Amino acid sequence: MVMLIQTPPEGIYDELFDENNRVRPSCRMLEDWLIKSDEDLLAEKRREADVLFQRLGITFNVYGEDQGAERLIPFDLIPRVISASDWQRLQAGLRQRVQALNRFLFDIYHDFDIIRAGVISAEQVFANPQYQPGMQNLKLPRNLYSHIAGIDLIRHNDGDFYVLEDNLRCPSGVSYMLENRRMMMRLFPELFAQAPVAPVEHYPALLGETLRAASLRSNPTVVVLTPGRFNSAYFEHAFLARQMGIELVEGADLFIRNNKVYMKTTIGPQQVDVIYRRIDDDFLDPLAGNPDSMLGVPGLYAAYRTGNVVLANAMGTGVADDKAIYPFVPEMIRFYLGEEPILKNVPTWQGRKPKDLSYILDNLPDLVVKETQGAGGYGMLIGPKATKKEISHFRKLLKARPDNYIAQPTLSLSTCPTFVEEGVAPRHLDLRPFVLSGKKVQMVPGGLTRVALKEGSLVVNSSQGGGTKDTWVLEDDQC
Amino acid sequence: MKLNIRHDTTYTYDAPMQNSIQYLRLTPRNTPQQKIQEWRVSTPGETSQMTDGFGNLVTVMTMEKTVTEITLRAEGVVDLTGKPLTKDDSPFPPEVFLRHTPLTEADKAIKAFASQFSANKRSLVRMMNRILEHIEFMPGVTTVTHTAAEAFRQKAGVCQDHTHIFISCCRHIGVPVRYVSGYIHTHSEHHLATHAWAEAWLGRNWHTFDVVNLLNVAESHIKLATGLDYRDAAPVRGIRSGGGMESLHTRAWVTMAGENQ
Repeated sequence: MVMLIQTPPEGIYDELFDENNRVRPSCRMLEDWLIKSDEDLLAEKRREADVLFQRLGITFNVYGEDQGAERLIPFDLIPRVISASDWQRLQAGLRQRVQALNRFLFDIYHDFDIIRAGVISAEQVFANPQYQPGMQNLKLPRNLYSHIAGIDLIRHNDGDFYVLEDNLRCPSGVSYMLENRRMMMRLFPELFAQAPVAPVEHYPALLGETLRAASLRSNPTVVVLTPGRFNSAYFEHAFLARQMGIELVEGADLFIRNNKVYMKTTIGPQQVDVIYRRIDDDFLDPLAGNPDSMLGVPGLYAAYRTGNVVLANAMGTGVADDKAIYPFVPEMIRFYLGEEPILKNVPTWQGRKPKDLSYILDNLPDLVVKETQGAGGYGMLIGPKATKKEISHFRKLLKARPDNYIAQPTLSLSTCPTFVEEGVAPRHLDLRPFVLSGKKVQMVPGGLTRVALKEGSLVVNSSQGGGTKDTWVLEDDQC
Repeated sequence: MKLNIRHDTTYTYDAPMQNSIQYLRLTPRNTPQQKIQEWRVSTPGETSQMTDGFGNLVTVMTMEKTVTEITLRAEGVVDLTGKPLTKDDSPFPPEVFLRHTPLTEADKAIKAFASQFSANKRSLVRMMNRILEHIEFMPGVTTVTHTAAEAFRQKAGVCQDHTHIFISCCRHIGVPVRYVSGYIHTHSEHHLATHAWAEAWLGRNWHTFDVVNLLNVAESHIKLATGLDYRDAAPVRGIRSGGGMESLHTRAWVTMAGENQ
């Protein structure tokens, strides 16, 4: 039986079909595969994928559900394709953006040029909960703060990519990017023989190279520091450490002597030069941050301040990925690099500005309202999908703490055909490429594509029931 | 004025303490107001140095032997020049010190109290007086984890609480203000020589506000460390494993050179 494929709704950019419902040139190889494949065969492959993921143990601990309850992030077999020319532009834009963000972080922890120039107010930086005064005047190798950045992008109905948010603290999800590709290659090797899909498998090697470049020592010892197995991303911490061939440690495995960090090993203490830490700032050192933290290493801040260890990412990077700082990123690019931003920002109204606030309050049913400190799709109002009750609830929240909120127009996230109960139907998606900054800024072509599995839903977060897809960046558009 | 300082911090544990690491902000820096003539920090552990984000000098002490008592001693000679606070020696623009911390966050009561005052010296001096009237100086009723709001509700505390409340109020009315830990030389025997006070930024200069002593000039103050709150500037902050219950005893002497200790 052939597959029944629902075409995308009007006015939405679809990654597979153009506005005349013809398959886009970059996706031709999928057309043959999707339409000619037997439905039963694909159903069989989906079951196979489920079993493989279970066996690999790729599960995700969902916040807001039972503590410790793990479940599988649904994986969709139909890949999302990005043309070579789109990727080239994206890559240049991502490189530019992450460079500017790192320059901004250096600036606000040194000379405050951007504040003095009046581009961003002192209050916006210094009152930000993620700002870390303890980072002031710390000299970091290559002036790098966010060695690993995950930039969330969406494609709007104008066909263009927009940056939705920057993740500069401990962005996760890259293990899914890698496993999704492995899965697709295993299930459909013949597809990769036909399509010039750019490889992503070298991400762990690039990450390792980036982490080693974070230290100026030759042949530095690098470890991954995890809060432990109860963390929702523990699988990823273990996965990346294994892939890079480096130790996965918890706070208790490390200790400080003479402002140096040592790892306890069977052959005695070994000095650690770079920590890829997946623990939040406040928990890194109970003597500098949260005094009750048991996750970190007492004395780590002193080792960091004295230049004896490098943290990736640096402390205090969160101030640059905050939703209240986001509207200023295009200005940062102009200010630090003297360039026009390649990637677009979503127009943003800031609750802290009285004019913007009154616009937000007048247009709540049409806007997406987000908490400046929120993450994972919580604390968010999607105006067009909200009930009257939800809107009036947010109106109250906004009036009480306007500076806690920003609002954006409801963007129509692009769709891509996705397996659902009824067959194949368009579902909304986003893209998170991972940008690595070391000796140079580099990334593997692609990223994590997240897909909202509910019809019409725009929330792609895996913590809220989203799924993932393999992301195919084509090496060459002439095929 | 030349002052001799000796400051002993003694921890006694009721079970053997196996290892410990401490951040000691016990070394004053040279500033226009204070010239350090001699200074020494002695500890029973291994030490190394660092400078934190606020520019404070920090001795990091690690101990890996089993003990039941630790004594940390800071001592030296400091010459106070009597110069007023002028140029800022902090690496930060004053606006950083508008930032609240969990210890200084203003609650409803503090906000209501603070809004009677405004951002000028006269008004802040009045506020300082009112805080001391409202919060009785009473050692032992608060600990280092008490917030400004808690101390304000309790109407009692020590210099650290008075300072936190003053800071909380200032930040609420938009005055950048920082926490200072250090020593004070007094002729009274009742006050501890270890001390805490605040410095507020009033447009052009930093100004001293020593709430407990109702002082507006730091003529007898030796500054050890500054920060957003006690946690940033605490003279001793440590963690240990083993040791059971701990008791802490602090003694400090600040005497004029030539005076008997």
